[in-house]
Amino acid sequence: MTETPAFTVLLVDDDDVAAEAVVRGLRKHSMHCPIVIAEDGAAALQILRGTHVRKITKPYIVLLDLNMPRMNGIEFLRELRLDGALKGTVVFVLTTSGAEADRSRAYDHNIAGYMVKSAVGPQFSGLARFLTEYRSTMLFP
Amino acid sequence: MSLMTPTGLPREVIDNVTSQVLEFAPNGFALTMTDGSIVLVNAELERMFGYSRAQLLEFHIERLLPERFRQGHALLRDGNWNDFKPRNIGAGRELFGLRADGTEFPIEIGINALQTPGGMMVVETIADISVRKRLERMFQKIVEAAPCGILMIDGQGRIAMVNPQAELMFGYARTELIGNELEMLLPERLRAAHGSHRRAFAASPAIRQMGVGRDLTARRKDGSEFPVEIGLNPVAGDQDGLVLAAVTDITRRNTMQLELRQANANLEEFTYAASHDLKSPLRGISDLVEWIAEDLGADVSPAVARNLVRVSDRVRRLDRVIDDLLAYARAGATSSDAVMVDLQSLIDGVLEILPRPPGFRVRVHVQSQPFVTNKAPMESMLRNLISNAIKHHDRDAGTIEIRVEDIGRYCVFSIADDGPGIPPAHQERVFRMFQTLAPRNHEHTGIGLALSKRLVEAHGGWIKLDSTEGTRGTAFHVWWPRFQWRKNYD
Repeated sequence: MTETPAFTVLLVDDDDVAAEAVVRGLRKHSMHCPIVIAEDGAAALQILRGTHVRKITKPYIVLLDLNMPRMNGIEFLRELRLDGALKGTVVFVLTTSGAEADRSRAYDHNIAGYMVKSAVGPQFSGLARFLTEYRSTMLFP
Repeated sequence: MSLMTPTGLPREVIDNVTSQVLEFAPNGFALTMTDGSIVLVNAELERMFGYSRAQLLEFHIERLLPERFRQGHALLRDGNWNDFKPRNIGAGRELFGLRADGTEFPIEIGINALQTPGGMMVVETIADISVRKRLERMFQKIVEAAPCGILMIDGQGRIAMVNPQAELMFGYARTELIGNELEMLLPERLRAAHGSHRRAFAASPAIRQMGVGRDLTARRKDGSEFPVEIGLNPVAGDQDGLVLAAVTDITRRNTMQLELRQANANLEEFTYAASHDLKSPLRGISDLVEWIAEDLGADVSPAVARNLVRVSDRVRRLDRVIDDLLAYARAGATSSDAVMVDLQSLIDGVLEILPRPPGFRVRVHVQSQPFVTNKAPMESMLRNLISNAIKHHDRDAGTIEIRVEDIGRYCVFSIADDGPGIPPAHQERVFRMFQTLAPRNHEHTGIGLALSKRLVEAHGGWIKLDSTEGTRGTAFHVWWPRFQWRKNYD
């Protein structure tokens, strides 16, 4: 097997503990890709457009929370798909909301997947496994 | 006159039959001379007025009417007998007969002139209409007392009758309504369309709700409009195509529906917020405690280790409380996905996944036919009640009896245990949210009964607790309707 292509993860979540939980969860399950954190949709857009102090390199995927202040996940997706340079971005929604309405609205914006964070306790092993799989089999635009 | 009739029967036979028919006819019958003196009567006339035949043959016909009607009746015999038109008197106005004992009773008289070889005679047929008048009064009473507006509409779409509620509802007096077109009670913009609806109904009349699924609007005399519900009942066999319309003003109901819808929307919003805004920080706390424990490693004082466990326990409990609250909030909403439910297999399924200590026996007796209902809430209710019976048992061994039987339109569940029982003082409290009689560290939050009660009531049933002071055991009885309430049209 050839060397697996690496990607960077842009993690968009307003809750720093939730974000750290994702980071720790991925690290614990041997997912050692670079991770950049954005505290809301607006910051995430700045990072992707290169106007933020935090920088990101291609290829990357976005793990997006929906419920955030300033610019929430759906507003971020709307803006992202209107941006000619960014509209092809691979976005996975990672949220606590299993609500039908949220899910269908997110899929309307061409997300690659929708994952509901489980209740308290260990999680993310499935996410880590999925991202490892994803990294080894996907070709990026 | 020949002795044989066209039917081949001898004349005497026919005459005999005719007089028999007359004698036993259900109406009173009197033949009089043109001056009103009675010459022939039948048995019914004797019975009706309480005179003997001999007495009647002494009378003028007017003697059978109260004083106030006599002159008018006698006048009927004045005039030209050759173009006398048969007529019915009493129809349309009150006419009474006068009995021998002086009492009066409502009658109708048919009167005709008869040319006989003995000269001109008058035939009077008298019907006792007390029964019909009584029915009319009953009908009148029902219509007047009905809680909704009632309108009788004739085949031409004109108002033939209204009750006081209809007058009140529309703001018109009876006299302003009778004889006028029904469409006067509609907003002008709807009148033309209504006329064609009405004609379509007249073509195939049936008892039905009008405008199902649509909002019906009526108009008062002052021009204001209000929402109505209308039931249409064609009067069976009526030549005129009479239709009885029952009109209910649903302003209040609509307002309540709107408020209810708003309350439900608020609740949904709350549920959504609770599931996210309460659970996210809680998840954070849970993670942080886990990380602290990880960072401390094995090198930690017993007190700190114990307190970390206590924090985690409480976080888990709060998480469960939030889940229960959400379940309780959702329990009020009845879903529409009803399926055929077989109680035996439903209970077997619940028992299969319910953990219970080895000493516990569960006996199930189902005498109920499968029926269509919402399965998930019923299952949830049963799981709660059965697991309560096990959890709250105070001994290592116990027996739980589950009975299901059909009583009337209900399917009745009884879940009886031989546990400690519930003292009367606590019997009301146990149905309230987060009330539990067990110590706090148990694996439950005290929502089970409140949730069960809400689920049962949301489906039109009720739940009752049965536990006697001084004896062991608690039984819960649940009445669950076997038939769905018809859903509202909205």
